[in-house]
Amino acid sequence: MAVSTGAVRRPAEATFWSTVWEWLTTVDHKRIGILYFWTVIVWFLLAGAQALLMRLQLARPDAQVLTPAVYNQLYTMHGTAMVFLVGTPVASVFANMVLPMMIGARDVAFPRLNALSYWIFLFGGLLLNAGWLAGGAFDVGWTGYANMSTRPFTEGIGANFWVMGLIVLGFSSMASALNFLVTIINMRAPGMTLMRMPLFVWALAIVFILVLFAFPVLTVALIFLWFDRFYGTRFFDVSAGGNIFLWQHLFWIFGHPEVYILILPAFGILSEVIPTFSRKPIFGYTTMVLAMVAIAFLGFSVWAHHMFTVGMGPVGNFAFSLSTMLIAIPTGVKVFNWLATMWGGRIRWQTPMLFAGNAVLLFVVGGLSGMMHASPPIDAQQHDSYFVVAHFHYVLFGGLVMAVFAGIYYWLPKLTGRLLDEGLGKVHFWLTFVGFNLTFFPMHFLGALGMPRRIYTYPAEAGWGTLNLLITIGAFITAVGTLFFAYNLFRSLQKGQPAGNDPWDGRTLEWSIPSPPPEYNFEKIPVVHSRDAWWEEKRQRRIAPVGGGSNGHGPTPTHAQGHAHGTSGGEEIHLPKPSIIPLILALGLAVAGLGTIYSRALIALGLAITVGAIVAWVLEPPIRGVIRSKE
Amino acid sequence: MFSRLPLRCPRLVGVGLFLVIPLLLTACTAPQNTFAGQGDQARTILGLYWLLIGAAAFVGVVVIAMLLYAFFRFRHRPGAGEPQEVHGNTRLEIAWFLIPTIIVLIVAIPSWRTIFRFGQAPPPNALQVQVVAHQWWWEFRYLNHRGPDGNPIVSGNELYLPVGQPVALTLVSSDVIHSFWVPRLAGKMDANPGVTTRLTFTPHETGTFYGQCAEFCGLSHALMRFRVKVLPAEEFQQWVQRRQAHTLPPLVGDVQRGWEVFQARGCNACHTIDGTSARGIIGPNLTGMASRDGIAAMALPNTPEAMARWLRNPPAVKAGAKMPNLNLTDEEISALVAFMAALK
Repeated sequence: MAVSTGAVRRPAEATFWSTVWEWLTTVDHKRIGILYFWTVIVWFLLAGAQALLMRLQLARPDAQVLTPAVYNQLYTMHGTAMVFLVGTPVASVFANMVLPMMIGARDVAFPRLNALSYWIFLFGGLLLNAGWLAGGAFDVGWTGYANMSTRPFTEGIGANFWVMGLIVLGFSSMASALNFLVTIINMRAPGMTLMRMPLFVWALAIVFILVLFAFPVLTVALIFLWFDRFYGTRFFDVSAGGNIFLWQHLFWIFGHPEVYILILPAFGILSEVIPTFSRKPIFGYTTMVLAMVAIAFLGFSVWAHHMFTVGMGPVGNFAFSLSTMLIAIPTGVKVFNWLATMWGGRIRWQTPMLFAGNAVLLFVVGGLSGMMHASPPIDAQQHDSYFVVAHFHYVLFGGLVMAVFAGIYYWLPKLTGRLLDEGLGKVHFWLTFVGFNLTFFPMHFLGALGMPRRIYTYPAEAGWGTLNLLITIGAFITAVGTLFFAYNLFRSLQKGQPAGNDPWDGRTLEWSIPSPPPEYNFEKIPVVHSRDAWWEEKRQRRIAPVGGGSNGHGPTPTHAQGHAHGTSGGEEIHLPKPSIIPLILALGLAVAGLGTIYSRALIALGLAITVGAIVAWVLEPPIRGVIRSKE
Repeated sequence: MFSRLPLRCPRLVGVGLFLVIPLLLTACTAPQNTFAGQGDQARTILGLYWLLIGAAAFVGVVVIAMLLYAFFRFRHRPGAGEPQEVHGNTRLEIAWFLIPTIIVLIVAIPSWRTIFRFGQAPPPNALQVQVVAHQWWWEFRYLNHRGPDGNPIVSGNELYLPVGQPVALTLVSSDVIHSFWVPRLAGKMDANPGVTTRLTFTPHETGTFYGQCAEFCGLSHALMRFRVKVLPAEEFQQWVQRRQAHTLPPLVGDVQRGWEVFQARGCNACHTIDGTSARGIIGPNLTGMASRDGIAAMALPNTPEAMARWLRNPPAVKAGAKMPNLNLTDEEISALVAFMAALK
C-alpha cells in the first residue's frame, strides 16, 4: 500500500447500518455516480413497464385493457419519466461515474453540492410521481400543454405534483451542471488543455452549458402554470389577455435544447467507445468539437419546429425550418467522423462496441426521419402522428439508450471492479436490436396511415390493427432483452470477472487507475502531454499489448502500472468530509414542495429544514483529512 | 367510396422495399392514409414527401451500408497488426460538411417554396366554413349558406363539401387546443381557443374522408373523430337547400313520443334541430342525425342499438362526455331512438 491512511479514521468493521450511513453521507463522486445509476435504472424499468401496459391496450382495435383515464396517465408519466428521470440525468450519471477520472481530478469541484444534486434528483422524482398514490398522475402528456394543463381542464392533483416535481428537479440539474462545469474548467490535470480533453468531457461540458440556459426557461413556464392553477393568473387564457402559444414557446425553448441535453452525452460515449474498440484515435477531433458546439448553438434557434401546425404563418414556419435543417450538417459531420474512425481499425465485437455501432445506425434512421419533419408541409402530415413517435424513439432509445448501454458495459466495470458478462450482454444486444426495430420501425407506417399519437383506442376499420399487434410483440421482445440486462447487472456484482485496471486497453486516464478506484482516484495527479493521454503513455512505456489477451480484455492489473501506483510521490491529498447535510437540505426542499400542494405549515417546515441545513452546511468543515502519498 | 384508391397503392411499393410487403394490404384499406391523397394540398405534400423519402432512403442506405461494411471488413482478427493511427483529413472533413449541405439544399428549397404556396390567401370563390372544435366533437358553420333565421347552416361531426371547389376553413376552439386533420385531403391545422387559424384546400374526389383530432385534448381525445363528405356540386346545393328548409319530421307514433321526450327531458337545452324550437348550442346540431355515419363523433356506429346504448349512459360510452346520464326509462329511450331515426 503506497498510501498512508493514518490521518483517516475508518470504522473497524462495516455493519449494515454503517454501510447505509456511508452511502447516505457520501460525497465521493463515484459513489454518487452509483446512486444515480441505480436510481435511473429503476426509473427506466418502471417507465418501460408503463410502455408495456400501453402496448397491451393498443395491440388490438377497441381493446378494453385500460381505461382512457389510466392510459392517459401512463403515456404522460412514461414520457415524463423517460425524459426527466432517465434521459436528462444520463449526463450526471456518467459525469459522476467517470468524468473526474477522465480529466485527472480527485473529485468534483463541490463534492457536497454534488451529493445535494443527487438527493434532490431522488426526492424530485418521487414528488413528480406522487400523483400515482394521491389519486391519479398527470394526464396531459409530458409536454403539459396549457391551457389543457390549467385548472378548468385538469383539476387533478397529479398535475400539481408534476409541476412541482419538475421545478424541484430543475434545481438538481442546474446544481449538477454548475458543479461539473467548474470541475471541467478548473480541475483538469496539468497539460490537459481544452483541445486535449476527451470528447466525452467536451460533450458533457456543452450539455451542462445547455442545462444552465434551458432549464430556467422551463422553470419560468412551470411557475406561470403554477400561478394559473393556484393564484388565479391567466397567462394562457386568451379571453383574459393571456396567450395560448406562450406555454408552447417557453416549453420548446427549453424542450429543444433538452433534446441535445439528452443526445450529446450519447455522442460523447460513442466518441470514446468507438476509438477504443477500433484501436484508432477519433477521426477529426477538432471538427467533432466544432460540430457539437454548432449543434448546441443551433439547438436554441429551432424550438418552434415543434409548432409548425399551430398557425404561425409561412414566415415563421420558413425561419424555423431553415434553422432546423442546418442542424443536419454538423450532425452529418459527426456520423461521418465516427465511420472514418472505424474505417481501417481493428474492431473488437464486444458488447460496448456492438451497442455503440447500433446506436450510430439507429440514430442515423432517427436523424433522417427528423429531417422530414423539418419540412413544414410534410410535418403537417407527420406532426402528432405515430411517425413522430417512431422518430423520437429512434433518436432517444435508438441513439441515446443504446449509447448508454454501451457506456454501461464500458465504464461500470471501472466502478465495480467486475466486468459484465459478455454472453448475457450479447443476448441483451440482439434481443434489444430485434425488439427495438420491430417496435419502432412499423410506427413510421402507422403515422403514414394517419394514426395520431396519444390515443388510447382505435376502430378496426382504421386499418392499424396488424401493425399495432406487431409493435406490441416487438415491445415485449425488447422487454425480455432488458430483463437479461438487469440480470446481468445484478449477477456481475457478485460473480463478474475481475475487470483489472484497463480491461478494454483504453485510451483515457480513468483506465490508468485501479478498478474500483481509490476514493481519491489518483495518488499522483497525472501530467498530460497529448490527447488520449493514457494510450500515449502506455505506448511510450511499451506496455500496450497487441490485440488483447485470450479473453479479449487487454492487460491484467499486474501488467498495468497505473497512476495510482505512480513512482514519484509526496503529494497532499485532501479528502472531503462525508456529510448528511445535502440529504437533509434536499429533504427540506421536497417537504416545502409537498407543502405547496397540501399546506402552508408544511411549506414553513420544509423551508425551516432547508435554511437550517444551509446554515449547518456553511459551518461544517468540508475537509475530513489530509493524507500524503508516499514514495 | 375509395374508387381511386387501388390506383394509388402501387406507389406504396417504394415504401414496402423497406419493410414487409404484407403491410401494404393494410395500407390500401386504411381510410386515413396520408399516401392516398385526394385533395390538392395532400397531393402536393405527397410529392414533397416522396422527394424526402428518396433523399432519406439514399442517405440511410449509403451510411448504413458503410457502417456495416466497416463493422465486418475491419473486424479484429487474431494476429492482425496495429491499425494506422489516422487523426483526421482536412479534405475529407470538408467533404463531410459539404455532403449534408447539398442534401439539405435539395430537400429544403422545394419545402420552403411549398410553405409560401400554402400560405397564400384563399381564392375568392372559396367556400367559407368555420370549424369550431369542442371537447370532443366538431362543429362546422357554413358562412356562405344561411338558414331562414339568417344564421349560418351548422353541421355536427360531418363536414359537407362540394368537389373541386376550394374551401377556406377558419378554425377556432371553444375550450382547449385541438387539431383538425383529414389526412387524405390536407395536412393538419390546430384549432386554438381564442385565436383563429386558416386552412385552405380543394377536394379533388367525391367520397367520404376520415378525420380525427390530432392534438391531445383530454380524456376522450381518441374519440374525437369526424367525416368529410365530398359531394358533386349539385348534390351539395341540394343538401344546403334541404338544410335551409328543414322542419320537424312527421310526428306519428314513436316519433311523436320521441319529440315529446326530447323537449320534456331538456335535450333541446343543448341541441339544435333546424326549423324547430330546439335551439340549444352546447352540443352538436342534430339535424340529419339519421344519415350520419356515427354517434358522438364516431364513438359508436349509427345503429338503433348503439343509439340506445349512448342515450342510456353517455359518459359510460365516452369517458368525460358532457352529455349527462339522464336516467331515461327504456320507453323514453326507444321513443328517442325512433325520433333520431326520423331526422333525415
